[in-house]
Amino acid sequence: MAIDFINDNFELQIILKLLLACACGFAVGSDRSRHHKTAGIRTYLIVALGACAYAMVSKYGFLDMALPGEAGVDVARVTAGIVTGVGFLGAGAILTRENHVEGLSTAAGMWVMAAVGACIGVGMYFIAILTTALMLFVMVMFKNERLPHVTPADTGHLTVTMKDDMGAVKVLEAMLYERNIDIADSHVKRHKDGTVTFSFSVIMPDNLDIPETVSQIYKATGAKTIDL
Amino acid sequence: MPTEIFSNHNLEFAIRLFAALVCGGVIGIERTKRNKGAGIKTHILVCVGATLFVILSKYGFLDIMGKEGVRVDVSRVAASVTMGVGFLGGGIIYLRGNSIQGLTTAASVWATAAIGSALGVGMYILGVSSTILIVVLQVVLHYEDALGMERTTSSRIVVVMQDDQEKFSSLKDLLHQRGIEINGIHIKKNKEASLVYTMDIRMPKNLSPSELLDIVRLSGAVKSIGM
Repeated sequence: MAIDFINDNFELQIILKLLLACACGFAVGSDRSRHHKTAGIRTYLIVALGACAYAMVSKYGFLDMALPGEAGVDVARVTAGIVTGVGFLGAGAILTRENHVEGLSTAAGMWVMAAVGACIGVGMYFIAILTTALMLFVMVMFKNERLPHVTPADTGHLTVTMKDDMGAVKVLEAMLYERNIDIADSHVKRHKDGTVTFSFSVIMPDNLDIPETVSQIYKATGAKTIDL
Repeated sequence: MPTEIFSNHNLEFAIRLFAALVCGGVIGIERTKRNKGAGIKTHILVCVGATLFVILSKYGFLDIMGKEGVRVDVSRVAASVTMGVGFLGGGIIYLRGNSIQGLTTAASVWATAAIGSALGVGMYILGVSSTILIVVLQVVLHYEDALGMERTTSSRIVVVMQDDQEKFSSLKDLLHQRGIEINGIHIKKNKEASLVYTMDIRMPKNLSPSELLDIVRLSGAVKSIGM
């Protein structure tokens, strides 16, 4: 529940809340900065600070207009705007490339940071600090190399340029199948000199010996160029 | 109905946040394994964030309630979670060639925020059962290939041939035989008086390399086919 530490000094309380929000932003942001993410220490710190300020404006800034007989003040309205506002910021941090998305956890992280800041603003310190700790835990714990069984499968591109020879293509197919290489997307292009280029997006097993695979394909199919 | 397991509020909130961590994680593991843009980190963060915003919404303003002229709508911040996460989800969706990608992932991020919200207000059963449903559905519906629901993929084919109506219709027949459907055609005249057709097609998923080469050979005119 919201608690007020120093009931008699509102201004001091404001400053302490802002400082606490900065500290939480710093804690998460410094981890991000260390990993050279787009949103680093400054971004997280400012998002936390801004959310904290908005929440205080929302909760305390209109109380002087809350007069008996007037329309009244909904003290949660500005705070509600934080959620959408930072959602917009986050969406802008997401980059969509030709076939993958970047910056998603950065966007989600900024959004949670705003929640932390807003909680501090309204005076819910315990869960704000707890969530900061949870965020740090998640970001440290789920770096790709830490938990091998939840890491995404290895993907790669395989490009083979070879003679237009159905037998050799069948051999190539069999070799990929043998090595548990899954073809996700494929593309064929015919050249004027009678050769064809296959481009595949492939999903490879973790223990695949890439140089060995490439040289085997080269030997078996008589390919001109291979690229994995 | 919302339940309170502990009388101590902070302890109760901590349990809700941990529950959100676990539920987001469970959904995220499945997505990470499928190489989706939004993985375990994103799902956990969205779920925990939604829980925190909802706790804030429901309990953060109670202390100034009762003051004359002050109204509090305790669901107002919670209501914004749907929009805020909607925007995030919007950022995940992208266009690749002619098809939209990332829709399921965006929807799963959005649904994960709903689970976080349920946990935030204290509806544990709702949150946990939704989590189980989502994971089961994601796993089961990925066999839609086997159910015959989604067996084609959108792709592109480039054909160079003389301006000959008959040749073109025989090519169309060949593609049709192989289950390839033409959705859009762009024609360009090149220098040697032949025409370059660039066509958007839907073709069966998982055509093997030899099947692709077969199409290229039989037609005699297809220059490239595939994503």
